[in-house]
Amino acid sequence: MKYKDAYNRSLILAIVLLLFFIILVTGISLYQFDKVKSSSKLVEHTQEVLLHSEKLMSYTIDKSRYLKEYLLNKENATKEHIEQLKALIKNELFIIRQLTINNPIQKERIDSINVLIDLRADILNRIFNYYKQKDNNSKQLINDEQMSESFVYRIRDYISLIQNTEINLLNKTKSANNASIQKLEKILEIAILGALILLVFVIQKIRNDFNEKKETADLFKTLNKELQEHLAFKSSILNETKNDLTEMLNTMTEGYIALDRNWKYTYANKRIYEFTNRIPESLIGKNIWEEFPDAIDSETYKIFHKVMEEKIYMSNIDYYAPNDFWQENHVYPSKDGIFVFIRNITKKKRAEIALQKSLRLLQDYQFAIDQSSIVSMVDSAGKIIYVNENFANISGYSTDELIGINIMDINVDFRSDSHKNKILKYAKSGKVWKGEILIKSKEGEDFWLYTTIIPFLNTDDKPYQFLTISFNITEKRMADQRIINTLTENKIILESIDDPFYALNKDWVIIYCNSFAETLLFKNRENLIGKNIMEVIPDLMETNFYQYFLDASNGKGLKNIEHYSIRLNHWYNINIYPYENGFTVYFKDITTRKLAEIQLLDLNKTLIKKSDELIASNKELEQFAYIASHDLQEPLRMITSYLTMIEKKYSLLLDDKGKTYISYAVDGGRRMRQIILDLLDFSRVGRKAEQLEAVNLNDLINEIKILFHQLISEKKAKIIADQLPIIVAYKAPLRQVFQNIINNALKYSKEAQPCNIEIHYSETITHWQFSITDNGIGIESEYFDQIFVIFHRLHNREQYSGTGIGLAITKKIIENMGGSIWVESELDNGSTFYFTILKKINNESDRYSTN
Amino acid sequence: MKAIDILLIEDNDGDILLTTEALESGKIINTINILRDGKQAIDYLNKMCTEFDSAMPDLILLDINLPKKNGFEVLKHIKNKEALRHLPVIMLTTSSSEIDINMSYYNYANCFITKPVEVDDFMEAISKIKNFWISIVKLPS
Repeated sequence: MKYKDAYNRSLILAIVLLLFFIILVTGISLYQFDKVKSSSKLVEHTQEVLLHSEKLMSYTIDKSRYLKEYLLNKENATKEHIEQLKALIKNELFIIRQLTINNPIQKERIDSINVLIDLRADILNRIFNYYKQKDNNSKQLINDEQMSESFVYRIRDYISLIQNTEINLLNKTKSANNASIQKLEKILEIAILGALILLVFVIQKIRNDFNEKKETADLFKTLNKELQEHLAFKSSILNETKNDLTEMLNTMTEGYIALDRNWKYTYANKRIYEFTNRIPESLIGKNIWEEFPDAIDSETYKIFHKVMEEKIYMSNIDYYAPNDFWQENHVYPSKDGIFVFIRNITKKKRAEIALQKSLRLLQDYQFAIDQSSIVSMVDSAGKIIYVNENFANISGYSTDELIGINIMDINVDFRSDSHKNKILKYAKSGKVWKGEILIKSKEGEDFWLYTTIIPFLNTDDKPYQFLTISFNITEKRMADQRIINTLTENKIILESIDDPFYALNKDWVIIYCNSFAETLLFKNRENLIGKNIMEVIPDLMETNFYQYFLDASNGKGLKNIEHYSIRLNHWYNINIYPYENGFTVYFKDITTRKLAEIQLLDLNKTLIKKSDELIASNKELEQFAYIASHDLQEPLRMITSYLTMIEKKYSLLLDDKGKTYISYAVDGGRRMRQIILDLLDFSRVGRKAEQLEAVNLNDLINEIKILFHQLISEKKAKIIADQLPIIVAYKAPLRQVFQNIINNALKYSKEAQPCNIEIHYSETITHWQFSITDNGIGIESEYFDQIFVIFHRLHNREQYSGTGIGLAITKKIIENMGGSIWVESELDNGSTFYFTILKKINNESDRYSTN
Repeated sequence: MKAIDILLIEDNDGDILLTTEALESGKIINTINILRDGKQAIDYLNKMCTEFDSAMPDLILLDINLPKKNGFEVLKHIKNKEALRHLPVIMLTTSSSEIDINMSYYNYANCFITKPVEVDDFMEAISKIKNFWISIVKLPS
């Protein structure tokens, strides 16, 4: 560094010197230039002075010449010239004065010249005056002329003096300038030389410096490279270590997290994902308590804080509910926070909990069994190892008395030796035995026990001890017995009925069954009595009976449950009656009734179907009749129209026969049209959706009277009606009914006598009944039905007009209103038409009346 | 009484003949245009609307049972169209069905006449129609 400073100092000095020389050279050069400039000015000045003094000289000489000339010829022009020259001389004089204003010697001379000029001017004036006065006083004149001449000479002298002085001055200045310039040149040369030397020095210096620097840089470069290589090597080692560490942290089964002082994650290994469902990288930099707020105030939370504060190792086990996660934490303090190894102990913990639970359950079971049952444990020889309190109580012995003695020594009644051997054999074979045993207590009291013997097997599948669990069923047994007794008493009755019957006790064990029950259950009585119904009917739980039996066990009787036995192809009505210790099940055979019912149902279905079909076809028919009659109208009209036209327009061309033919054709057409119209009317009955309304029949009859008043007066008819009711019906069709029948009465009246028509009414609960009686021609009884059939007529057209539609329509209307129509009559003795109408007309009829 | 243009929309040749004969009797000379199906009628009327010079009929006699498009469709078309709805439309049909009658008036038919069956009645009806609509009624111009 010192070296470098010294080096720098000399370099700076050299550069400063160089600059100084350069400034010096520049300054000298400028000064020189100025000098040269001023000397050239001086030369100009001198030349000017010389020029103007020359001019002055020549003007003065010219003037004196012109004066002489004037004196000779006395011309005014010459005089003017003289005046001009005078001015010019003055001017030149002024210029010279100005140019030499700094030179006092020259000034004096100019002043002298001026004086001389003025004097000469005076002389000239005097001369001129002489010449004007013609006073040729020659003496004076000559004198003056001489004096003037002398002045000219003197002026000329003065001018040459001035000129000489100026030239001298110029030469003097020139030589002085030259000397100084020579001096300066020398200085300049020395300065340039110095500058050059310094420049060479500086360049040399810089070059050296540059070289030195380059060397240093190269050195640095190599050093740097080595250093970098070293660093890379070191960092690769470090990275490998780090990777190994990360790998290790990631592969280990524990979770690993590192937290800084602010509870922010600085590291989390991959295992953390399994524990938290969070991508470990995403946790970095986040606050653990913000990420897992549920953990705040947990055991773990407290432990973490403690380690953070006290810088000690701690561990804990905690449960994190949101993830259903049991964790074992090992928390270590680190330089800047803590790091934690987390072990997933969920499985272990669960197993523990399950074990605890099952242990508790086992204890509970034991407790429950001890509470509810009579429990004993015997070894393979039958020696009692354990009895519970219940056993001791029922046997009458104390626990101490019982332990160690053989179970067979307690008075056990096996009913028979074969039974006893059977049980023993069963137990020794390692199978569970269940059944009822009668024991006698120390006091000689009988107890029925429902007993289960469970053999405990060793590794050879041989029983090494037996657990016996029994329930005291003495009371039940006695109740069953009472029932059995009752049932046995009634056996004759029960056996005689054709229906299956059985009785179950509270445990659903069959205690009685009749012979039909054997058929029903498909087993003989020996295999039924004493058996649980669940054994008899293995799939009982899948049938409705299970629920019925449950209900019956709770004292709820059931009646008339229909049941179909597939096996017997029979229908039963089941009645279940609970009694104090069980329930009886009674199957009533209802197969015959059921079959009839089913047949009826089928029949009903068929009928409904038929009726639907009928409705549909009826509708179609009506539709057909309507359309057909409509469409038939048109061609028919054409036929009659054009036949009529022919008859009208061409009657002259037709003979009588032809006219008759045409009239028949036209008549036929007309009749056909009438038939079609009637058919249309008939089909229209019930087609229109009429509204039910209250109809005053008295008004209705009056309306009809008015309508027929002409016919009535022609026939001299009398229509007498009862006071008729107001009924709810379809008004227009109802009027048509009355109208048609009255019309018929008027139409088919006897010509000989006046027509009498009577209208009466009566009522039943459901129907109104009306009768219309006339005194007309009457009807033979064989036609009573025919008259209501469409287009049926009893008379030819010549006697009575009409198509035979009226009564058919009437019948149809009445039937639509839920009534019927019939006639009572005798030939020649008048007729009575009866008809009924439903009081409450069923809207069902609307089904027929909708389009 | 000035002569008027009648549009007869009818497919039955017999009725066309009878109707034209009935209309032509008497002194007033009418032009009678005959169209034989519903579609033709609609097209013809549409054309009337677009052609500036064409003379609209003064009266339309419309049958219901027509090929392609029935009388109701033609009626609806006429009464729904600004340029046509002023035309008086007389339903002249074989039908006497209440449904047809209601349907016609519902769609703004000007009157409904069932063709009389008897030829004399028919002729009389037509002549009455003519008399009523031509002499008595003031038609829009």
